[in-house]
Amino acid sequence: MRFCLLFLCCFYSIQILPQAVVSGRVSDAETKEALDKAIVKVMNDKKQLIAYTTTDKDGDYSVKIKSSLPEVFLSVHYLGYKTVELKIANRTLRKDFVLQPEAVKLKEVHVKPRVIEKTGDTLSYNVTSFKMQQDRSIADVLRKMPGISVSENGGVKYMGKPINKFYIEGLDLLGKKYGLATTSVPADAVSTVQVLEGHQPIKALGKYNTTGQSALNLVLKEKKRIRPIGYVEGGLGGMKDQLLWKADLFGLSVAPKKQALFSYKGNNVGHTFAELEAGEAIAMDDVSVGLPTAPSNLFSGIILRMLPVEPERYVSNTSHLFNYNQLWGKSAVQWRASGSFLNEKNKQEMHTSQDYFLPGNEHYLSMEDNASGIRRNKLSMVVEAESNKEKLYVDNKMEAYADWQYHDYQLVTNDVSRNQHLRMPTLAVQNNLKVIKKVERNTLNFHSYVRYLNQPQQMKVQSADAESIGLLSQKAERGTLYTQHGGSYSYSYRKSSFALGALLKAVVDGYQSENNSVTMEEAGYGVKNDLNNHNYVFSLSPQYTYNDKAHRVFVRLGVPFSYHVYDVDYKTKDDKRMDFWNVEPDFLFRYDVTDDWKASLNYSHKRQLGDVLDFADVPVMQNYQYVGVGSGILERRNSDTYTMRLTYRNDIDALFFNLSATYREMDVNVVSGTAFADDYILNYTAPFSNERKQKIVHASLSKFVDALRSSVGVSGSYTNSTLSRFQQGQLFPWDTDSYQYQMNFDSKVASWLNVNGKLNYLTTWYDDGRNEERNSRHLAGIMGIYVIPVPKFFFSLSGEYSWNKTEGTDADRCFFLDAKVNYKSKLWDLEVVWQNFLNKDMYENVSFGNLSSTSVSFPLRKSNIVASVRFNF
Amino acid sequence: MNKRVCLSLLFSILALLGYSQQVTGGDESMPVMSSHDTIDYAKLCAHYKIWAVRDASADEKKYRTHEMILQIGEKVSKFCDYLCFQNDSATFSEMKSGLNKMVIFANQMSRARIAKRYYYEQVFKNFPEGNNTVLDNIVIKTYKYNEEMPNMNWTIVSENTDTILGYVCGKATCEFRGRTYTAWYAPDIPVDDGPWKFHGLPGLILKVREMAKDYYWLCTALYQPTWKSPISIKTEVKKTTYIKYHKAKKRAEEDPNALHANDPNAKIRTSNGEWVLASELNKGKYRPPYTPKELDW
Repeated sequence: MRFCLLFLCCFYSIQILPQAVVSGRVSDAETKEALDKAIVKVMNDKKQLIAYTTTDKDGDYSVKIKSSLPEVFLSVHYLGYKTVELKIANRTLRKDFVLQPEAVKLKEVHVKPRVIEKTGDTLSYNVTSFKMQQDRSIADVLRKMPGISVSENGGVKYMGKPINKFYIEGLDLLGKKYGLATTSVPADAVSTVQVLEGHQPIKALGKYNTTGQSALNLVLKEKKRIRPIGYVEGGLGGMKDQLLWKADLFGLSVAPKKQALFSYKGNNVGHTFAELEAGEAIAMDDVSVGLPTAPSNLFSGIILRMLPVEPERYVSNTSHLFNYNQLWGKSAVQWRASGSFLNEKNKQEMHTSQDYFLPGNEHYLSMEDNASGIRRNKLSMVVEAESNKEKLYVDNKMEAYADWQYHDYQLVTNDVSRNQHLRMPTLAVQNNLKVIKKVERNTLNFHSYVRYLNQPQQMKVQSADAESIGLLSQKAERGTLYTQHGGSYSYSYRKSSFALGALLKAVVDGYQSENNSVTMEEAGYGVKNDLNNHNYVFSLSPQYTYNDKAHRVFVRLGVPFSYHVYDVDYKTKDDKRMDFWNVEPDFLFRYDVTDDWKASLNYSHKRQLGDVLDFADVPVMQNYQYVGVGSGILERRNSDTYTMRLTYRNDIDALFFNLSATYREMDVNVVSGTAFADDYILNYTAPFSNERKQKIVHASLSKFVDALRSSVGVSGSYTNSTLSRFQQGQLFPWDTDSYQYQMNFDSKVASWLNVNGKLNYLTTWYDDGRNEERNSRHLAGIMGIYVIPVPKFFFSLSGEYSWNKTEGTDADRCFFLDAKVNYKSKLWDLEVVWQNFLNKDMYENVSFGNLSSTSVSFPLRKSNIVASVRFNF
Repeated sequence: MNKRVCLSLLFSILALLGYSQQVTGGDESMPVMSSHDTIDYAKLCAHYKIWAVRDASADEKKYRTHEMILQIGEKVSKFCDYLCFQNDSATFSEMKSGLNKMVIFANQMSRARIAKRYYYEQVFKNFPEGNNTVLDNIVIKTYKYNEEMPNMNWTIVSENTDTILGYVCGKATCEFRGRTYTAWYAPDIPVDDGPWKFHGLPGLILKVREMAKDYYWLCTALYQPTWKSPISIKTEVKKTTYIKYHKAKKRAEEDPNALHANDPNAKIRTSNGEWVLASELNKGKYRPPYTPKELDW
């Protein structure tokens, strides 16, 4: 009824609205010439537009006014003339205007490329917009780009997900070792960084992948493509009683069908390369499903603890890394070959005091002084041939590496001195073949993977007293032949696709170990192991996919089931055999709400299996102090994981938002435990139902503010996990709740001043069921000020603050100050870095771990200066 | 391989010979650039980026983008591809500097590499007076048609909705030749103009969005040239009409083989060196449907 009345009123009002016509002529005051296309506006008393028109070629206008107001405003606008505005009666009349010429200065906006351009699914970040004077490598610039995060070793994530390919000019030269390029390619050589959203590298599988991962492509400047680019750098310096040096040689040649990269890096200033050499995890949703990860050593060394300050502050190293990568061909077959050699020596000294919580409010305290030298030589080679066509994809990758690790420790544990020597070589050779054939709607997929691994490793522990030799020695050798062959067939019909995959995995695993530990023999663990294990897995994996591009919906449902057989052949006792079925359903729903908003929901049930040595029930001396014993049953971790993701990216506003929430329930059939004896600590697993829960919520927001020429990022995450573990025979709960907040900014405050900063706050509550909750908090902040008095030259001062407070102990505070002076011309780059000039020399830190609290004091690198010269070519 | 090298050498020598002939006063009538007329001078320039759909029938629309320039003169305005505009400007200045025609021609050829990326359509508003003139390339010829400046019946939605390039913009919608557009105009720039054929709002149009998401224009830069910026029009063009133009354009885009219809035995040499019937060359190859801005022909 009310609407009817309203409608009637409106109708009536339309009927009675008077209609006046104002007409006239607009001309130039000086020349008296008519002004064509002048804009004539009629506005109400609130200066809201009622009507408008433009003048014709004779300068005449006529505008109808539909308004009941007695008076209206009439204004005439013409570029280059003074605007005239009059109040006129709302009736039909004639009004001529004579406009006075006026020099008008429009607010000009000059051609400036947008910081991020979007073309289809490609986001192009303009490097010049993000680059600051202090940035040397492209990784320094990538860190400032919203939506992209870069790890210390150059690993790249886009919207929180690792990238699936890294290209230079559209070619994948480096594979997983792309960190070499991100940390070395000069920022000046790159014009654009492209993010290829949802990129599918295998053409036969279509254009988009199903994991939603993206790829990164570096587009070089035109000039830099013509000839090889790179630099030679050398630096010398000193630190109290030590000579410091660094050397860097990098060359990259980019041609349409040929690319090559050579690099040598060496230093003793705290930059280690083991992780850079290992490369990044590149996950692809193709045929390489469930391939084994890199093997771990049979003994556990006392590794360098990661302190919550920059690694260059405490690592004492001598490192060399040589790398050569070559790529030929583009269309038919692409060949890739690479070789690398890593030589690294790390020295570490630390004092550790570990307090284990025992039943009945008792404690087991272990105090240890550790001075160690860790040497590593790793040689690796890869040859790969790839043919990537629309209908056929063939790729064969052969890889071989030898990794020799030697650890020498001088230990004083609870006043007992020992020397421990670990010799841990690993030799591996592997081949991975993938073939994908597409025939219209049918896709055939085949892969074959073979790996042979040999680890003849040895441990020797001697008393520091030279007279008592041969306190303990152990040899262990593991040889594994791993083969996995599989194929799948998929048929696409309209928006649906049905696939059935079959896989056969066969693993032959041999393990021998022998030690001369009297203590272990007396404890009844035995000193000798000799076993062969045969593991066969046969799996069938049906999968259904629905991809409706029009409605931007993607659904995937897979129900792979597999049959596992373990057959352990002991040389010293009865054999063991075990077989079981596994079903691991997986469901993914993705919905692109708009071009910018994307949401996904994922459920997966997984059954992960432990190492066969647990099942084999053999004691293994992990090092002089720890003995590991399997429970005799195979560890099975059944987990249900629910993940929700919501992402938003707006290229025009350079705004990126990412929210993810994960809930995981895990049911494990064994519980880990620790037992303390006089001479050793036993790590074991016992058959016991163990429920673990984990909740993780993570949100991050990053934006480039063009007006302030600043990149800003904030993120927060919450993690909750519950689990149980045995400690000296008693079961304890172990619940942790942690909140982490991070903030970072990079700003060009003025043409002569750049400022950057990073803040990280982490607070964690621990509950072991004995006392009240314990809390530990950590705050770390880094801030740098870069002053550029003249172009090409800058000096900087940066401070790092670390604050650590663990309940029951005093807060640890640390403040470091560094200074840098840099001059950069087209060819030369001179730099002097003075690190830690407040000469902070010891870092102390208390942290909670698995039912224990650990206090570490660590010597830091003293105040040091390094001057370096770089020649860019 | 050797044969190819010999041929390249031969052509290089021939080219040099040609050059030396030119120096000694060879063929004066050699066409360096099609003749252009200067019809006005720009008092305001605006750069736009256009997103034009590649294949409107695809599930996920992909776009090609071009940088365009709108030169607004006292009487006439011209909207054309910026790369093309730059190329023409370079040639103009070379001609003005009295450079040898052969050199200008060689420079033009080197610049022609980028010509394949041109968005060829050029719109001249109010030229001749009260009319629009539209130039476009169909295959290798440039065609031109005139039409009366169309009346765009804009409905103003609001006067302050967005800020583009620092200018507060009003928003208006209109239906024009079968498509619905939303435009954002800047009342503080009192110029009745905009990208392509858009005009008729009380301020310069800085952004236009087409409802089916087939086209999108966004102003990226704005300046008043302090130099003489001529608005020129190509004169050696073939006249046609609005309807004929669209029909020919559709035919050329959707079925390029139709061009050989007059000579069914015409052959083309492929990159493999084989001679194939021109009509067979692209047979079966998918070509996206012609998606013009105007649908009323």
